[in-house]
Amino acid sequence: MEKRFDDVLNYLCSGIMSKAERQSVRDELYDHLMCKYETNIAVGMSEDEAEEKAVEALGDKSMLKFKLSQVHSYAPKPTLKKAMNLLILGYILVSFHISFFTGMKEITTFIGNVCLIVALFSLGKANKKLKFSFVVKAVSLIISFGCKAAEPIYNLPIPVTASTGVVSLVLSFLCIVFLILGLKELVKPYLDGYPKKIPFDSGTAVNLLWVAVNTFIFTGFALDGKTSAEFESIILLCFGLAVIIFNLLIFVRSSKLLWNSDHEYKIEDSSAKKWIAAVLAVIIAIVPTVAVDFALAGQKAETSVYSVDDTDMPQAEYERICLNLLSYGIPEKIVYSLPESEILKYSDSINKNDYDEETLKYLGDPCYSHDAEICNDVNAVFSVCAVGMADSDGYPYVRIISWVEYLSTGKGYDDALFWGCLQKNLILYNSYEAYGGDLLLILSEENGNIIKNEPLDIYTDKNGLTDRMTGVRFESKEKMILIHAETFGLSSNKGVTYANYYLQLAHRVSPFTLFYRSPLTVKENNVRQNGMGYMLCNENTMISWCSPDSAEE
Amino acid sequence: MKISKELAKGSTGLLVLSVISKRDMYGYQIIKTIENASEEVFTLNEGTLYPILHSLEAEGSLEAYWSECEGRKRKYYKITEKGLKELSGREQEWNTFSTAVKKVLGGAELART
Repeated sequence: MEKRFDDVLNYLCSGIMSKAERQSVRDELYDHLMCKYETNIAVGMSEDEAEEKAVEALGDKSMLKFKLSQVHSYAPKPTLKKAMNLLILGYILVSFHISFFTGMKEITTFIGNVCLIVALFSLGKANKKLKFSFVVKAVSLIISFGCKAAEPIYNLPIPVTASTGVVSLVLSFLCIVFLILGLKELVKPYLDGYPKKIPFDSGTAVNLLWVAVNTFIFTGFALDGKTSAEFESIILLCFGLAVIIFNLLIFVRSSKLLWNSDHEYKIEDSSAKKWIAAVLAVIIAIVPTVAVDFALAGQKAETSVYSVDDTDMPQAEYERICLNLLSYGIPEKIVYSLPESEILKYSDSINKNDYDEETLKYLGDPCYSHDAEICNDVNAVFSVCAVGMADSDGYPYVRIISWVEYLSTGKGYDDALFWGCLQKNLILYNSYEAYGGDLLLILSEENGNIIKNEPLDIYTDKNGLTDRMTGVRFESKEKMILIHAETFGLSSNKGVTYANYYLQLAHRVSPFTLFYRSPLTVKENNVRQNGMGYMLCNENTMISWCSPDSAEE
Repeated sequence: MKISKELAKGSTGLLVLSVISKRDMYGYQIIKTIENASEEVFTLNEGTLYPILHSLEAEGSLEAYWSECEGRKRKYYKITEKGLKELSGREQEWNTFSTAVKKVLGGAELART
C-alpha cells in the first residue's frame, strides 16, 4: 500500500527543488492519502479500491505536480518576466557582432553575457532543465573567459586553447538545448489553451544554425584563411541575423504565452538574498577574468628616446652600408630609422649593382610588400627584403629585413587591439635553417621624435599549430613599424650551395608566405656558380616565392 | 447543487482562510469542513487545496506546525495576523462582488417582469 503511494508521492513531489520542502510536502500528502484511504475503508471499500479512490480524488496529477513545483519555486516574484526580458536582451547583445567603435563588441558581449547569466540563474529555480541550462552556461563562460585571461599569462599552447574553446562552445550549445526544453516544460500546462504554440521547431532550427555557424568557423580556421574575408563576413552576418531572428521568435513567443497564462511565482520573503546570490554568481563567473583582461590591456612597455646614433661608426662606412641596403629596394624610412649598431651588421653586404647580369637574372626583385587587414580596424603593410651578404672569405649568405607598418583605419590607435591582432593573427616568421634571428625593433614616431618601445625582445612561441609572438607589450603609435632582421645560413643540394630561408609573414585571413632560396651566386672550389633562383608569383590570394622550374625543387 | 469550477475558483482562498480562522486544521480536515459547511456545494478538488495552502503559507497568511497523529506526521495550519487582515479584505471584496451580482440579477428580473 505504502509502496503505491510512494510512486504517486514521488511523482507529485519530483518538481520541487528543495529536498527539505519535497519531504515536507510528501509527508503532508501522505497523511492526506491515508486519511482518505481510511475513510474509504470505513464506508466498506476493499483495500485496493480504497487506495485507488484516494489517489483519484487528488484530481489531475500532472497539474498538481506542476502547481506544487511552481509554489515551491525559489525564483523571486518578478523574476519570470524580468528573466525572460533579460534573456531576450542578453541573446540580442551576445548575437550582435557589429562594432561601431573600438571595443564595442567586447562591451556588448560582456553585458549580454551578464544578462544571460542573471536570467538563467533566475529561471534556473523553476525547473531542473533550466537549472542545468544555467550551470552549463556558467561553466562555459568560466572556461572561455578563464582561458582568454590565462592565455597571455601562461602562454597556453594552441591545442589547449582550441580544445577549451570547443568544450566551451559545446556547453553553450547544451545551454540552449536545456533552456528550450526547460521553457517548454514551464509553459506546457498552458499550451493547449493557446492559439499559437511556441515554435519550438524553431528551437531545433536555431541549434542547427548554431552548429552550422561553428562548423563554418572551425572549417575556416582549418583552411587557414583559404576562403576570402568578404565571403566569410557575409556568411557570418547571414547566420548571425538568422540566429537573432529565431531567438527573438522563440523568446518573444514564450514571454507572450507566459504573460497570457498569468503564470506567477509565489516566493519566499528572502528574494533579496537570491538576487545577491545571482549577482555573486555573475561576479564569480565573469568579473575576475574580465579584470585580468583589463589589467593586461593596461600594461605598457616603457619607452625611451630613440637615437640611431648609438655607435662610433665612421660616416662613410655608414653611408656605404645604407646605400647597399637601399639598392635592394628597402625604403629610406626603414634604412634611416635603423640604429647604427644594426646597420653595422650589414657591413658585409654587397651592393645589388655590383652583381653581374647572370646573377641579377636570378636575383629578381628581392623585396615584396603586401597590404592586409590583420583584423577589424587594424590595417598593416607587410614587407620583406633580402640583402645579399658575403663573409670575409667571400662566402655568400643572405640577411633579411622584414617589417610591419601599422596603418590605422581612422578609428584611432588602440594598443590592446593592435597587440591582440598581432598576437592572435600574425605569424611573424617561421624560418628553418636560420642562423641567429637577432633583432626585432619596434619604432614609432610621435611629435616629431622617434621613440623606441622597450623591451625589444619579442620572441615567438613555437608550441601549437602556428608560431605566435609572445612576451612583449608596447604602445602602438601612428606610423608604427616593427622591424625584424634575421641572418640565414647555407644549405647544399646536389652539390649546389645556396642560402635558404622560409619566411611567413602572415595572418590567418590572407596569408603572405615566402619560400625563398637564395638568388645569390655561390663560390665553390673557387668557381662562381649560379645558385638556384626563385621568383615571385601570385596564385589567387596566396602570394609566394616559387621556382620557375619546379623540377629543380 | 454543484457549482461550476470557474465560479468556485476565485473563492477557494477565502473559504480556506475562513475555516482556518475558526480553529487550526490540517488539509483533509479543511476539505471535509468546507464540504460539510456548504452542504456539499463546494467539493474541492483535493489536489488543488495544497498549492493554495502552501501559497498562503509562503505569503505569511498562514503558519504551519507539525504534530504526530496515528503514527503519522500531520501538518496543521494556523491563521496569522496578516491572514486575518487578508481574510477581512477578501470578505469585503466578496460582499461587494456578491451584492453587485445580486443587484444585476435583480435588475434583470425586474426587466423581465
